[in-house]
Amino acid sequence: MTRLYLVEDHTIVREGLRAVLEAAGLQVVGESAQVAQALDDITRLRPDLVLLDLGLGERSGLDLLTHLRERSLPTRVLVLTVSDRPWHMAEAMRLGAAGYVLKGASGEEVLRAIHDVLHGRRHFKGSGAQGDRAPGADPMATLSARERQIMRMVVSGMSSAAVAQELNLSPKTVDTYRSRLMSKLGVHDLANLVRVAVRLGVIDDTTG
Amino acid sequence: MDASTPPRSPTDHLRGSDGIDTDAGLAAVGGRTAVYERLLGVFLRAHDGDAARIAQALDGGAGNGGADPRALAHRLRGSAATLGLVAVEQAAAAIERTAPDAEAAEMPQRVAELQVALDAALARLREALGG
Repeated sequence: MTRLYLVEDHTIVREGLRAVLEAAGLQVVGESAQVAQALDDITRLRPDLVLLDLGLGERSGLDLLTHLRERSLPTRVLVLTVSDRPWHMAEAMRLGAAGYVLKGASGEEVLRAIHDVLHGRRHFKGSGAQGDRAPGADPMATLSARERQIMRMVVSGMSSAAVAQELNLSPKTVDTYRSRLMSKLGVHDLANLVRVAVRLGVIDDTTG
Repeated sequence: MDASTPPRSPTDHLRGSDGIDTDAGLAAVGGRTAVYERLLGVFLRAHDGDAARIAQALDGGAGNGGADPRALAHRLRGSAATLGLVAVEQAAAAIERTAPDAEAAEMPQRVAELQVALDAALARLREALGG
């Protein structure tokens, strides 16, 4: 039986999903609303597929994708979100998600996406087209995965010390990443970095 | 009601209501009517007062340690989208888009529209669920 794990912070959405999945004969082996707990559970339970919301309170599902990629886990990830911003879709693809479905899709569509992803196909649907943007058109594409991750954390209000603790880096290393990403984006202070983040959709639309 | 007529289910009661797409809501929970109706009850209990909470959060402004209006609107939108409460979903989405600028001139209108949509949906849910 296919084993799934849900990462979703809306109780109603999570319960609705569980109903769809169980009705289709899929097994939900666990669920969480938090990045840290989800990472521990997924590492331990090794589900076949993770259904991942992007908006998880103050954290982003993109952070979980980053951690999963660092651990080279075989689990496939299907993003399920309200965000139709091309940047979110492109970033999820870059971080290794195998699929992307917008909330509001029917249960049938979600099941089709799960089927595709479990069979090694990619499934990216939504108003963000296929999620591909020419790298030159996306300033975020000039950043490394770590720089994008730190940017998300910084613009969400985390201090360098907090980011350092979260990522097991020294504050000085975080500051170096921070300076480098700001330089790549052509901004010189946090206020402008936040403005750029809003303009690019990194923090503008709550990503649930 | 004729004694031979089976009572209408809450879902039947809601079907055709303005701003509520029961088919979409049922589809989002795998067609399980019992689950759909239970989650409508959860919505009724969890989101009554959300428009006032959002208005209050907007008045409080950012950075005062209070609730984040965009997060409140986002949560409401996600729940409403799942259950086919289309009018609430759209009104909450409009606030979510506008919320980064709490001082935006259109914000009071957006909050008023949410209040109207939410009140209408909750009233229909109460009638249907008998709550």
